[in-house]
This record gives sequence, C-alpha cells and structure tokens, in this order.
Amino acid sequence: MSLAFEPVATCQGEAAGLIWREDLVLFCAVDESRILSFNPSSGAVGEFRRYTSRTSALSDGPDGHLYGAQSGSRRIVRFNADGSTTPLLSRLRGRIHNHPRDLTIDSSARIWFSDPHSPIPAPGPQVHGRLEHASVLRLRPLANRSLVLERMTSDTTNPAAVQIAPDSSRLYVTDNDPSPSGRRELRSYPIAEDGSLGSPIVLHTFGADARGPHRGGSGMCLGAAGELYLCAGSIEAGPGPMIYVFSAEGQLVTTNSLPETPVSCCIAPGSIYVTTLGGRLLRASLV
Amino acid sequence: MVGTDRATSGLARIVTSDSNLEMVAHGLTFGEGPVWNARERAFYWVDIIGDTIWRWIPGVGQQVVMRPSGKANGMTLDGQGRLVVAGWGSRSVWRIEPDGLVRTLASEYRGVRINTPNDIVVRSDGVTYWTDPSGALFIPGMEGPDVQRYLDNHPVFRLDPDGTVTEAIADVSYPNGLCFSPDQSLLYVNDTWRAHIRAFKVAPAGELSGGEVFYSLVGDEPGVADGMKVDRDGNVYVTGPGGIQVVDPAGALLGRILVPGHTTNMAFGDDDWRTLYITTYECVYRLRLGIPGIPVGPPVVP
Repeated sequence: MSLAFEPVATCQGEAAGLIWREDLVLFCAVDESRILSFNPSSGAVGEFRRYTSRTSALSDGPDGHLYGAQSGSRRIVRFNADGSTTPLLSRLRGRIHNHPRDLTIDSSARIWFSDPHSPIPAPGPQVHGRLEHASVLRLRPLANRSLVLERMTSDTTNPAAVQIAPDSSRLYVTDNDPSPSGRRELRSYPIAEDGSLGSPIVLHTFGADARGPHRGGSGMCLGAAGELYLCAGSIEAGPGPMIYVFSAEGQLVTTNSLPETPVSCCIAPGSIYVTTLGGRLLRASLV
Repeated sequence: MVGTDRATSGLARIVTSDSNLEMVAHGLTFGEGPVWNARERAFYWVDIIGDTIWRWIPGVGQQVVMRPSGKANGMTLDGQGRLVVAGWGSRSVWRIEPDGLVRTLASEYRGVRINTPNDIVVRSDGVTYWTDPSGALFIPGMEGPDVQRYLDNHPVFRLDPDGTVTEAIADVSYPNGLCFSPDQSLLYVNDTWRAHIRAFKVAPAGELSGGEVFYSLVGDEPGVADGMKVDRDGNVYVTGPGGIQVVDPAGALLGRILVPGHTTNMAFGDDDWRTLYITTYECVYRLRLGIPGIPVGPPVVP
C-alpha cells in the first residue's frame, strides 16, 4: 500500500472526527469548537457549524440525522437540519458520564460511544464528578422513542475509537491505557443477539521501545468491503504515524505511513481523508 | 457571628454581633435565583440542575412551586408582585401570572434565538434587564432542549413594557449578576470571566451609558462574580472568592462575608429587609445584617 497524502484544509489546534456527507467532508476543529466542511469539487473550506463545545467525532444515524460526541459538554448531541442541536440523555444511573470522544451508530439506531476521562474539564461550575470508570457506553432507543443509557464494557481504561462492523455483528474498540506499562490495543467485541458484548479478540497490540510507548489507535473507518482503517502512531516512538488496514475477518492486511500524527479517517468516493493532531485534513487517492 | 475577613470599619455597621449564619435548606444540586416575596412573607429560590423552583415560609417549611422549571435561574418580582424568571434552560424570559399561567415575555432578539438568561431585574416602571451569557448551552446538566448557540456575543438585554427587546450592553465577556443602585440611576453588571463589576448610568427611557469598572474581585478561593444585590445605603454585595464581597458606593471593599461552600447568589428579605438569604450550590442560608436591602416587588399594604 502506498498512499500519497496531501493537505487540503487546516484548522487551529486538533482536527479530529470526520465524515463524508452530502458530497462534503465534515471534520471537527475541536479546539475551535467548530465543524468545518471541505468540498473536494471546488476545494472550498467552509464552516458547517460553530459553538460545538469541543465536538470530537461525527456519525450518521439511520434516521438521516448527524450525531456528534460533544466532548466539552459531556454529552452526545444531534445536529438538526434546521440548525438546532438536541442533547441526548447524558446520565448513567443518575450521574453525568465523562467526555465522549468517538461514536458509531448501528442499523438499530443504537449509539455506541467511547467515554474516556479528559484532562480538559467541562466549562463552568465543576458540580459533576467524573465516573469511576472509562467505558464504552450505548444509547439504546426504546419502543416509545425514549433512550436508555447503558455501560457496555468493563475492561476498558481509556477507550478512544469505536466502530461498528457493517453487519452490526462486532464492535471495534481501541483502548489506550496511558500508563507506561499499560496496554494499547485494537479489540473486536462480538455483539450477541441480545445486544450485549462478548469477550473481545485483540486484533493488534501496540508496543513500546526505548523512546516510550507507541501511540495507540485514535480513529477508525470502514472501507467498502468492510475492511477497517485504523489511525495510530506518532513520531515520538515506534514505527511512526500510520494507517493500519484490517480485513473484515480481522487480519492485518497492510500499513501505510503518514506524514504526521493522525487522529481519524473516512472514506469518500475514490479517496481517503485523514485528520491530524496538528490541525490538517489530508487526502490520498484510492484509485 | 459569621466569619469575615479583609474587614474595614464600614463592615461593622453591616455584620453585627447578631449576624449568625443559619441554614434554611440543604440537599440542592445548584441553588440560585433567590427572591423574597413580601406579600407572602416567603422566600423563593431555584435548584437549577434539580430543575425546581422552591418556596420556603418561616415556621412552615419548604415546598415545590414548579418542577420542571425549564432550568430556571435568576428571579425577581415586578411591580405587580409577579414572579419574573430568567429562563436559563428554556432560553426565555417569562413570568407567572396571577392565575398561575406562565407567560413568555421574550425568547428572541431580531428574530434570532437568545442565549440563556442568567439573572434579571425589573425597574419600578417595568423596564426589565437580563444578562444573557451562553452558559446553559455548554455546562453539563444545565441544558435545555436546544443547545445550539446563535448569538456571537453575550449581551445584556432590555425589555420594555411594550415587549420591545433591545441590546443594552454588547461588550461584556460573560455577564452574570446585575442590580440597580437604590435610586435606580445606576445599573451594576458583573462579568464572571473578567471578575469585575461595571457601573452603567441608566437614562429615564432605559438606555445605558458609561460602564466603567466599578470593582474588581479579590481573593483566590473558590467563588466567582455571580449574584449581586444592593442595600439601602448603596453598598453592593457580590458573590466571589470567599463568599460575599461587600463594596461601598465608591467601589472600595468593605470586607468579605465568609460563606461555606460555593456562593451563587443572595437576596434581602423578611419584613424589615434586613435578612440576607444566600444560595450556594448545595444550601440556602440566612444572615441578619445591620442595614436593610432594597425592597423587591410591590409595597406591602398593612
């Protein structure tokens, strides 16, 4: 695999979650609390939404709405077509959850999201303490269209990227324990008929060397054949910034180096886009 | 006697040997919106995150007035004794009519949805001012049904009796508490992010001018510029580090009243208006003072 990436857009601070939607790439300018758009036909960069409270990831729902992980305000939101933004249920057993980082939505409209702790506190009065755990949580719609919030993992310490397999049979999760001896893994959890998660298979483990632990996976997307693209690595340690590609069956197929530390990725017709910690949107042709 | 510090001789007329902090209510998640209703001889306040307006009557106890409240925040009484509310989560200014119905007074400015009204005052002729930061759009647990911010600034708005909404102040970074001087010639507005109070001259028609910095808060303990009230002598009481900072009409600190927890607001009350009711995140306290506050609402006819 030899993808040649070029920068096509920039933002201040970190560029994070992104999505291909209505012929545009939408990507999160986290530190600007904006969602920006890139039009590949014209090359134009625009503002899709402002005042997004550190929204760090985006996902389409089966209802056609755009959903976001609003990390700064500790909630999942729905960005409505009329410009309004609806907050979804944010209390787990009465307590407000942590800072959602990434989200993915399955065909049953269940919203799965990583809920790590964050070094950046939510703005305003610090009334709500953080949860003792950092888990993958799920918003599940009930028959009356209300939502229930559920804890789905008990083996994660710092979940980052989440991705549902195309047939909703597996949940991919990256868990990046920040301690020097901690594990940084890509896991594949089977989803049972009742919606619960089974024991995961570890698809990849990130190592460490004399320079330090290798940076684990921070973002994922799916290709047309169900293959999984994973953004990981940095210039600080290990083999460097990379995209890892896993087959739908979970085998590591190939890797591709990147010019800078990646955050997340998405597939668009004929292209792959990658966001970076340095605030750039990169593009490479897949043709 | 309640604790004080940085006290000058002027504080001795306010905090006396009878000034003992007494707990009125506890178990709140975010107390705010205090106001004394002289007709009912009752104290009202809100629990923002608890989404409730409460009332407490001395010797009787506390009861729920409204739940849910749309995450109500600052409250006051107008000249007819109606409860006028800064609708923090509902993104509106509203009041409770004598028949109990809720009437929305304002929710838009020039066709655009406002931010999140934080605190509110009504002048004796009915002209209303409220601070409109965007806090309820981003603070966890305080949100309403729409958390999208549409305005690019945090104004102070004026609402005239005919329903006209005007941007009265445009250049405050995070306006929060506000109150009139005793003669209503000045409107004090504090700024949480800049930790100071500004003083604006109020014209008869309601326009504001000036806006010089009147006082900058002191101390590095927990607490921010939030609620604010004035006493009969024109002393300004503002929440801040330590609890409540009392400032004379010239802008000099008279001293700090130390309050447990994180103080959010206060209101004068009781028949002689010499009791200061204080809200914190978790509690309501009351404190007898030597100087009465400015009455709120219609005068009580014996």
